[in-house]
Amino acid sequence: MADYELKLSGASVVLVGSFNPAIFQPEWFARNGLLPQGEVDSAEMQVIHPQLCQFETERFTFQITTDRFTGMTKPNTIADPLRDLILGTFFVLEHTPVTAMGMNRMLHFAFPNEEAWHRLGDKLAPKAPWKGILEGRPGMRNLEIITFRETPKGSSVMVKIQPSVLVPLGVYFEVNDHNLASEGTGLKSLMEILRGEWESSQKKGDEIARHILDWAAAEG
Amino acid sequence: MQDTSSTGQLLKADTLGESYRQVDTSKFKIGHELSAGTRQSLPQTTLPQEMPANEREFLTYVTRPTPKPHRPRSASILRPRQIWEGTVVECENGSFLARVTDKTNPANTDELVTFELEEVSPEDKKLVQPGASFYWTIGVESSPAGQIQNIDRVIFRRLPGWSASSVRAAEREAKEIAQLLFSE
Amino acid sequence: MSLTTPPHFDEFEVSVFGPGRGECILVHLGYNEWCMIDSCIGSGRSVPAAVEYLREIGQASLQGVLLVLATHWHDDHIGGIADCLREFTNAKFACSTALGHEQFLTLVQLQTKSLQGNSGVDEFGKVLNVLRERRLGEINSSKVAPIFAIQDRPLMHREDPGRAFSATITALSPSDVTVRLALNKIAELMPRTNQPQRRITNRPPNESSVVLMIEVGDRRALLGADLEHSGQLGEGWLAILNSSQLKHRPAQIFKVPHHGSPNADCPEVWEGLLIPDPIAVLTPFTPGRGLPQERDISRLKTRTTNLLCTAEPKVRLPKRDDKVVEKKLKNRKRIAVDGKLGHVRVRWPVNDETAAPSIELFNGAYQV
Repeated sequence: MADYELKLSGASVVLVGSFNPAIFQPEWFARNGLLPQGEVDSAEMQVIHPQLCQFETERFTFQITTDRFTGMTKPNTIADPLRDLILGTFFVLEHTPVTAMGMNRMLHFAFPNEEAWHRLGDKLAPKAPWKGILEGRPGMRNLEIITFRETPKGSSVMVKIQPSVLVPLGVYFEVNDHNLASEGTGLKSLMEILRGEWESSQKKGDEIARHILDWAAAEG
Repeated sequence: MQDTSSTGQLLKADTLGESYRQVDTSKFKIGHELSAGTRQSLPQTTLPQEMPANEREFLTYVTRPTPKPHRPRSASILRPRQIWEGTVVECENGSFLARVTDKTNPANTDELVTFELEEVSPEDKKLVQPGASFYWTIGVESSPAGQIQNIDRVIFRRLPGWSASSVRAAEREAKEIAQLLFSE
Repeated sequence: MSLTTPPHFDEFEVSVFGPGRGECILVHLGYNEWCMIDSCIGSGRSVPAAVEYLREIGQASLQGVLLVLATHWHDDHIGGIADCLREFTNAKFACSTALGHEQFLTLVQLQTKSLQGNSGVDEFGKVLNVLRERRLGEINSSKVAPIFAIQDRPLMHREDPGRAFSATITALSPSDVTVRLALNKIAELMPRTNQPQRRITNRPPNESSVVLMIEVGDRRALLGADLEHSGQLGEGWLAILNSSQLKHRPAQIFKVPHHGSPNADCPEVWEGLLIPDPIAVLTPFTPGRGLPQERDISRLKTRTTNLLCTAEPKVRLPKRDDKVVEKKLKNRKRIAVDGKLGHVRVRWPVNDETAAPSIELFNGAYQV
């Protein structure tokens, strides 16, 4: 039986390219049939500026700068509607220059006790080398592991593990599935990846986190 | 220097969207606070024109996480236990029949399920047409106040419409395919 | 005889698979030459039923498939057909003439760009991609061009000097009238400007699917696809009956059209195009009210004593361990759609006048 429990999960899509933040106001999404009017009417606009747009709706959070578009789910919604929203947005804005895309999965797990919580950190980053040379109680703050895939070219998966700041005795996993746009087709190739591989990417994120947690929980 | 080619969370992702609330706002003035304690909706905020570039950059990108954990301000937390994707097959008075595919256990067979129109939010009702697709989620939701309830929710997919230019482009491609495949 | 035993060179075989997601028929024309009519994939599987079966009886069979035909574009009839076409490198593709019209091709092109996927029209898009790839590597376009089926058109005829018997595949439908009806229906499916993208769903009635007569020596199979009976002259089964060609060559094997539904039942077909008491095979269809219903079975049993069905029409709903989920589902009206992929196989030596057909039932198929 697993000695951890998933407490919070979320997903995000990050696009790197060239954007006009002024376009991406909540009303634009409603006008294009991508968000319900009710959700748009209750959206919370935080920043609106030619170089930065930031707002929250009931289900999503957006931040758009001139070179980065980030859409993220809130913990009250499943991940797939975010995919639809991004696909729909860039179906309408089909000529947007985009060079890279990340499909991200974020997970917070809780451990039942401190011992189990420390076990993960001890296995990932053993404390022994740091004892004596660092005062106090050294602990793992952040771990990042990256691997590059053979295909598509330039794509990679990076896993970040940190103590959770949201969940007591918790650990945070972030899995970034990074893809580069194909030459010539740019946005289109990335939207094809988003359309075809979003579900498997999200699932992989869960699998990676659970694999590491199971490994840490095993004796030895 | 921020690596702008990275596509991971530059917002402090471990707060699930709350990172901008944990920005250290003491470094700049933007007219309104974006602090985590603020409970009211913020009116539209614009950055001062003369804001130094490094402060704008600071606002945009991630800062060190604060040590105190806290709940996201506005969102309840959903723990889905079962998710299906459905497609409306037919609509009858006050209800619709849909074919649903199990996303949680893909090995399970598809099912035909009857839904009442009342289960659909007022804004989504106009989307209920044959061919429209939706997500059906059964799970547990806990409110910011800590109340827990079982939920059974249908959310229709919102996808953009076809523009006249996309239809024209499809017609052109159809002609090309016919020429390539069907002519001698 | 084991499932994996291939047919003898002079054996006529009709294998009917279904339901997985749909139905599929494989016909052995003799001399390891095959044709495939429609395609389906078993529930929980990723390889089309026809490919799985032909691999089981010998890889060489894949190269023997000479024709892949889609009787119509509904998704329960062409699941995985593009993958089959890719595997069957010697096969030509055939479909109703209505599907070669630019209007349908436009619909296909729109659907391939759509953010909604998984309709039969999508599968057609994949077929066109396979044909396009082949065309780009082939100078002679006639080798790649699809064959368009229309009433009374022969789609294939095999009569090489090396063959002791000929094999012919003839399309009995669609008629000119039903092609026009099909094109009208395609026009209705075209999205209007700014209409939100939706999945293109199967829309009844189905008057324009391709019905085939396959003759191998003296053995004949009438494959009814999903053709319905509107009662109108020039349409559906009446159009076929009015054609004079086949009445002297009744079929001994019948693939019952449209899952045994009353909409597809035409008594004159049994009297005019089939021998008395033919071997009749049907595939169930679970969505909606479910087909065949009890009264359909009763009706079919008055027509033949050799009624075979690939699977039980009622499929058990999946059980879930999660109590919260099960409780929520308890009061819902639900029907499971796909069951086990049953298989009815009929084999009949062509050269032997005295030989009787052998009927084998696999994976849940049964005699009614």
